[in-house]
Amino acid sequence: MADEKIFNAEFYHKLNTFRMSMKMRLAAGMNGGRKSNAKGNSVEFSDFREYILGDDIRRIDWNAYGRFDRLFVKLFMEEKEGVFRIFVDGSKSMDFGEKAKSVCAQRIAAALSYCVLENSDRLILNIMQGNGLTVHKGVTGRQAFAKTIERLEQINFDGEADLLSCIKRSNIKQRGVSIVISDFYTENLEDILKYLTFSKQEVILIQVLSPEEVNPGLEGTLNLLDSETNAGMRITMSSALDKEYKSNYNDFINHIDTVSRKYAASYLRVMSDESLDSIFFGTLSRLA
Amino acid sequence: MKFLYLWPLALLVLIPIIIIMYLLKQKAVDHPFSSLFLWKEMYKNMQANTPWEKLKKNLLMYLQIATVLILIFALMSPYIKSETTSAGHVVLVLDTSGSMNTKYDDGHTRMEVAVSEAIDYVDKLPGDTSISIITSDKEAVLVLTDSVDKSLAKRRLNAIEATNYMGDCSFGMEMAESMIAQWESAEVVYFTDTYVSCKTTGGYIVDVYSEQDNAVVEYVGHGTDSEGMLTVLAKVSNFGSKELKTDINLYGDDEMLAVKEVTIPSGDSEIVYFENLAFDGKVIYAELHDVKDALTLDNGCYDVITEASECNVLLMTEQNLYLEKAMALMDGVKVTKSNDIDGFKDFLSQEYDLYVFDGMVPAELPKNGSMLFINCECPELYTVADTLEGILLKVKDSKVTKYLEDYSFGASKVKAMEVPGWADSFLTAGNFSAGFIGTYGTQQVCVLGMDFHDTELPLKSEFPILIYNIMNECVSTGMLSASVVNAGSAIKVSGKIDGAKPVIERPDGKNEELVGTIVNYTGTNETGVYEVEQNADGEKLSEVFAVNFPKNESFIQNTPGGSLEAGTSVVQATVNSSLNLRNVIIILALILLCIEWIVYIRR
Repeated sequence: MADEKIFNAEFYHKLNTFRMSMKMRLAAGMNGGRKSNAKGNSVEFSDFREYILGDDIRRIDWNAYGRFDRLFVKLFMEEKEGVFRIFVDGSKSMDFGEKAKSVCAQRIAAALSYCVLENSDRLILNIMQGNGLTVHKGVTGRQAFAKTIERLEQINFDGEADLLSCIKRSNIKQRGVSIVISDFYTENLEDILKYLTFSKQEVILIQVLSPEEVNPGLEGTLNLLDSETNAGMRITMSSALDKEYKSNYNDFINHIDTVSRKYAASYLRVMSDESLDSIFFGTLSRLA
Repeated sequence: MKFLYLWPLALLVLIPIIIIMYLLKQKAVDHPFSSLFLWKEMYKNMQANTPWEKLKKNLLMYLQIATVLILIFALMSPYIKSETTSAGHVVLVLDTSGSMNTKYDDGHTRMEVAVSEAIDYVDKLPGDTSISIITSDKEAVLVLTDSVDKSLAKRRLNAIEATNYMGDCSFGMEMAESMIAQWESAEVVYFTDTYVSCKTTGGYIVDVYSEQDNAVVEYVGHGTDSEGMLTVLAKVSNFGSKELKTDINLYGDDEMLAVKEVTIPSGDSEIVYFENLAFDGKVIYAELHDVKDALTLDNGCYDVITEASECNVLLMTEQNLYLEKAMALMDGVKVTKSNDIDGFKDFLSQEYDLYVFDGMVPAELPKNGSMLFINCECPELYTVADTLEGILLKVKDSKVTKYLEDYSFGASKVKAMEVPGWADSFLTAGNFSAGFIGTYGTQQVCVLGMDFHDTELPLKSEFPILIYNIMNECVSTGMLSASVVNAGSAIKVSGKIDGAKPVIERPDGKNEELVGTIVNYTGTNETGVYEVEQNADGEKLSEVFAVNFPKNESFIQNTPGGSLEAGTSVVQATVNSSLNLRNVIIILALILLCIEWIVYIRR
């Protein structure tokens, strides 16, 4: 993987097309380049309505009053700036698979960042490692993309990551969108969703897995080593055990799906060997 | 249930070896994985932290251990001893043939094991069971008949020893068959090392066969060249599983003549030649030097050097079937018949031992050999006084009338002769003689004055006796019908009819006097050299013969082979009933192997 550039020419080409296909809308956030369904203060006229007590008298359309002898206020399209937080799992477990999950995660993070920045929204990139969180200052505008790419490239996937502890450190105070990119090998997923939902976040979970995790294809007696903790576990593979693992995997997936639905979060699963086309125009397009 | 062998228990050591191999086989290989999160969920089901936990779910290993245990069980040859036989009658048939002398590694012979098993079996029988015991080799011998006395049965069993005879359980089985036919229910138990098919009698077999190494001197032969030098050949076979390298010693009358080294691969044979031996004794013996195999009795083999004992007789007659038949009864006599008395000269060169002139006399009498004149005149030797008709001829005591004392017979026509001075009359016709015998010069001469067709003698049983006696007096043949026989075989001893009873000196040094001068001697149970002596006419006649171990008993194979035949090298270790434990167990082991294979495939 070292020889392969994470963000190559093909990636950028696909990225542009991907942006065109993404039509994310938000109901909250800072003023920005995205048209909001809410009415607010901007220069773009939206509609009239009759004055009611408490309205800003500065918004009364006096010309209309002159013609109709009734008080009307002008309504303008409110433009808001969306706040997108992307949490990338920087643990060693992400650096696994023949097609590394980390590369896939970086590309997904970059693609989503590009969309966010192209829409003049605010992007806050968070890297989760250990119990800590590396929070990169929020950026807006297309010019910030290069910096974002650089930050993503600099992630050193190593050690453990306690997702709940990390996310709690993000200290979220604004409504926004939180995108968590991880393999979600955690028992605290529900707590994570609970925290983010409480923090008025629209949550998008993007799970990245490698084919080796779905179908281990192991044989004989093995000492399985946890890539994060280096802890060992002796197993003697058999068809029954393989079957049990797959059953356990399905339970794991179903659990994430169930919990996501419970907290109205979007849940997407990406395999690390999937093509960019499949990821951008297949899996991620479902976010639209 | 009892076991024939306990040595397979040593194979139990395989079980810890299998377990150790499984433990070693379980050596884990490090394999990095992204996270053990999912694996930990299944921890209890799949993890094996300790070796014993590893074994918990190892079905294959358990199957293998079970298979090994079952095979060991089968090798121990289990058989069911009927603790409470309902038979009421039990017939024990013990094979006592030569192969039962074969020793196990622990030094016990198959016979000892068979007897021990039989005693054990008797001990387990209910007190009121009637026991019969039969030994079987070249013949069946009823040792005990229908007795409920267990101690007597055990004493009889203890007294049973293996013979050197060829044979197996077949004769015993026949006897057992006829015995059990009289009982409603009976059980026959065979103790043998040879295959026996007991389909008709039922019962079961205690197989005492064991796979042992054995080398054997199969036979020894000899030849003499023109200079009187002896050449001896010996065939040596190696029935063992290893190559045999040893010396073969050749003895002549107990003195060593030669030694040769032989190397024989497993399952092979070799013929060893000893040439240019200057030996003028009687007995040669080839022996494997210091070979300690399972059966030592067949490690040596005897041969006896005999002088030519065949007697040639020239019968000059027109036709005399009675005489021919009577002469043919005598062993070692070769009769040449001719009616060309004019061409008699041509026969003289062949030097016959006896010339019989029946109704015709040659112009020139032979100078050597004995002569028998029948119904002819030979003025050169004797005078015919008269020809009598319708007269009773009476036998007179003489050396040729043994067993014919006071016998007389009628003759329609007979030549009455004067008895010459060199002869004695043995048949009188009134005042004359109708038959006499004596030594004329160096030749034995016997004269009979009647044509047998003119008498009733040929129709009587005394006729062959008279002819035999005359022939025996006129020609000299050996006493023995063979010089080398297998143990248990009969040998005909034909001593001089007027001599003393022959005495046989056995290999163990004991003397045995025969009941008559002509006897079929069957006491050849011991291998070695037997010397036969007879005093006749003040002369001491002596001949030797040797008894070898029957080579068919040297190589018994453990293979069932259909019907039982004497000396057939086959063994059936099983029974024809539900007591066929070894086969059942082996089938069980095969089923287990199949299960193991299925388990292995499904994993």
